[in-house]
Amino acid sequence: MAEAQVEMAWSVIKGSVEEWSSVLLVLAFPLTGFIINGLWGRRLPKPIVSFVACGSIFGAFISSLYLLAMNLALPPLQRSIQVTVYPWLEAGPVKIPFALLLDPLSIAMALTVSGVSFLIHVYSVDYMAHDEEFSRYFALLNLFVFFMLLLVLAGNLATMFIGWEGVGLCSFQLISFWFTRERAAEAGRKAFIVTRFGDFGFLVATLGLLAIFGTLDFGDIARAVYENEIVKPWWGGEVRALDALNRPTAIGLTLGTLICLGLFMGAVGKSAQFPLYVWLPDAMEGPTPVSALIHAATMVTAGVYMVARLNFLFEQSPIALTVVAVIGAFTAAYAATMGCVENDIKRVLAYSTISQIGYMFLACGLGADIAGFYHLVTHAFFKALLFLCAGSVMHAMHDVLDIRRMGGLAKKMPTTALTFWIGGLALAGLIPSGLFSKDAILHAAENQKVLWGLGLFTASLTAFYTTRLGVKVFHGKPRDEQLYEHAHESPDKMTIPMILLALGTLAVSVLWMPPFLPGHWKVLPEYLSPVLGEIHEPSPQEALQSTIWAIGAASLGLIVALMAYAWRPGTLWVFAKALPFLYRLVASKYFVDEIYAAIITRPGRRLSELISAHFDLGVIDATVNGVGWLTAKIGSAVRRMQTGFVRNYALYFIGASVLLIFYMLVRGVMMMR
Amino acid sequence: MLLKAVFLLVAFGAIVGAIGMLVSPKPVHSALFLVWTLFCIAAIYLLLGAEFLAVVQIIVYAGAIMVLFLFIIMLLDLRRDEFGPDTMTVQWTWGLIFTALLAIALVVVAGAAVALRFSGDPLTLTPIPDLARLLFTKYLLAFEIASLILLIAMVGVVVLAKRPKGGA
Amino acid sequence: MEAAIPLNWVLALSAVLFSLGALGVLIKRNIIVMFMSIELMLNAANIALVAFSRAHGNLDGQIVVFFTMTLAAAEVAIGLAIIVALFRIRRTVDVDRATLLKW
Repeated sequence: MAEAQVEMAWSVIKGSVEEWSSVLLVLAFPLTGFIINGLWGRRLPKPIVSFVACGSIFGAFISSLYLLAMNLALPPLQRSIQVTVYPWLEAGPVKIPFALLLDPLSIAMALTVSGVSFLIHVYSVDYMAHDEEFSRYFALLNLFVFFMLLLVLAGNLATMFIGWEGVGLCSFQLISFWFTRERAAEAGRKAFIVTRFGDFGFLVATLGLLAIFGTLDFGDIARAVYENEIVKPWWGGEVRALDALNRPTAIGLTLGTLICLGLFMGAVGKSAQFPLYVWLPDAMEGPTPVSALIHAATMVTAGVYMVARLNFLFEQSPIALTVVAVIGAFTAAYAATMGCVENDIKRVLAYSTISQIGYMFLACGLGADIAGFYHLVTHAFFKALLFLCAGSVMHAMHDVLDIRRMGGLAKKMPTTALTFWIGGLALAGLIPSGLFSKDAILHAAENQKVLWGLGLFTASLTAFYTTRLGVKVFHGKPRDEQLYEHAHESPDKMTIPMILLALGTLAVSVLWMPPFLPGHWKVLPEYLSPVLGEIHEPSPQEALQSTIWAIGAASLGLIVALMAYAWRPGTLWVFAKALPFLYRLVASKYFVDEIYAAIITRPGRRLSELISAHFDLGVIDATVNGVGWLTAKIGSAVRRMQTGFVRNYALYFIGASVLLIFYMLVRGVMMMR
Repeated sequence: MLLKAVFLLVAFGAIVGAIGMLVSPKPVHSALFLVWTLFCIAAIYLLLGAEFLAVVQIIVYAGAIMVLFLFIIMLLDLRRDEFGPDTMTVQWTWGLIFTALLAIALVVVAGAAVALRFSGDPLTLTPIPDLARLLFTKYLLAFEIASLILLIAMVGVVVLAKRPKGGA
Repeated sequence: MEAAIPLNWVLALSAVLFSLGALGVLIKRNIIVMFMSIELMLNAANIALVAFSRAHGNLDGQIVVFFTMTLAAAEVAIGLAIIVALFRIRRTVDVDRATLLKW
């Protein structure tokens, strides 16, 4: 894999801001939308607010297209441009500018983000039409897109971190959008705090990189690593970059491995992987379009993007790559199991998201970053679509989330049902593009039998819970007649984005088709190879074989689900009753929330109570009060000097002057010596 | 030699007068002792050649200020100090201590002033025109302000000593 | 020319008179006598000033003494006026009875 890198475009070209001002447009549009809607949104009529919000994202999308065109106009090996917008932090030789990196990876991601965001914004106009905080919603959504684009287009770790934290903040705000509900407020807090946990690793790793390389710019660090340049690390002297990264540390892992693990910790938090995934299911308390945008298509994929962005670092540490792949595969299977027994429509999709992101990390951990990125793009489309369908269903069912009260909705909401199945089957990996992207990942995992096995198992489960969800919601007999009566299809502004996303899901498959299909288009790999490395192109026979395995696993899940929920309802309950312990374990999400509460939350709270009582009250307050008490005491002692007798005062006078005279005498004598 | 003896005599007289002022129980006697001391000081001014100041001392200090004191003593009809036992022993102890220390310190300083000597013949009298010239040129501002202060003092005394209307 | 009267002696006299005046201020209970002790202190300072004026050979010291006497006169006038006003109320010249400025 290393040989192909030599041709890579890590000769990052420094571009000027004027030449690439369109990148500033990409960022300026959503930021302007936030400012306008944030400051004056309440006073503007709703159509204006919607227009500003959707228009700004559309502007960002068009600007991204323009950026793509400009980027494609350059020769393939010179497509990485760094644009320094502002010399931000400079301390001696260390310079951390506010810089953006325009290369195939960032532009592709920016396109995905802005495109899907736009459709979700349009959907939100009708979904949130009855909400009073209409303008605040759109302002926050725009701000989120701004930060996400900043994260994606960032040229160094510091700028990326601004975007990283910014999307975390917006996510927090949007999850607890209806903050008067206790559960929503708690969910927001949980999300913020859990991801903060991961951010700690991110920051420490960033510091480590800064201390070794003296810079945080992606281009500079990549070049230093690839050409094994001389660096001046914090422990003094000069050393080759790879030797610096391979320096052993006290706990046996190399420095490079620790840095990668720290970065991955941030990714685990942000992308909701094991063990920091607990915030994502609760984040469903927010409005459904928020779940679609932030917790399916964009923010949670930031971790994957970051790992892909820094692939040159991860490559230097096989241990880190293994950790990434293993956690990815494990999380994929683990989350899929919980999705199978969940009865809340959004939570099923939430666990599904956690699971699919696990796939992406699996790919990155195996070095197949392009496959992981492909899955990121396809997933953005079909998962956003699925969430929008869920929102449509909720809209029709008066915000009921429990699928046990639904059924037979296909007759009332045909568009929603159709688009749902398109997205669902893509998720299950049975139709392109989900089929292609998942297949690419599984093929990359073929040599690691355990991981491959987990991937297949997860594929089965994915198909199972997706089918279960679809059948229970849209087919069969309605389980709640009253709700069914009032159900209706959603308005156009909601269904059209859904249709567009469904079409997009199918259309995106042209980005990378398997070799056994005629045409064999490889648009995405060719575009991204200079940045992420060459792909292993299997022969058509190998590819076909791998695809058959994947389809087979998915079909198994599909058939079991159909059997259990469509043809012979109740079949699986037998299993559930036979193994009550297992069912309860999975249904209670393996008691992870309870475990966390016991190990972390409650001790943490007790600790802060202790500190508050003993240190804050006992020491700090005591000191402050003590100063006051001391002053009063001294005052009451000293005021006895004011006896009122003139003679005493005269005594003080003369006594003090005598002392002064003696002092001066002594000093004079000393000086004379 | 003669001068030294005269000085010592006059100095001794001044000190005796001061002690007498402190010791007498009757305020009138204290005032008279102070007058005696002031006269001795005027003599010392003469010995130092400042005859103008000696005369001014007698006229103003002994002749006006002390007379004022005596007037007040008479006005307030003070005969003996009839205050009762003095309970503030702290004044006596610390007063004596501090005063002794003060005396020692200052005398030490005085003794150390060996570098300075009287210049010229000490008995030559100061030419009064020179004094006047200094007063009206270099110290003109102070002169004017001093006259203002005297005016203020006059006014102040009248205001302070007036009987309040409607009885005390 | 040998100084007839040593400067030190004059300064020593001034020191002694000053200390005696200070003692009087601290010890006497009669306001009037206390005031007189203050005048004694002033005079002691005047002696020192005249002596130094002679030592330096210029007349500035004597001018200062002149002003000091002036101010002493003004001060005594006002001080005694205050004592009279006080006496009217308190009917005593015991300085220990004027203790309103206490804690």
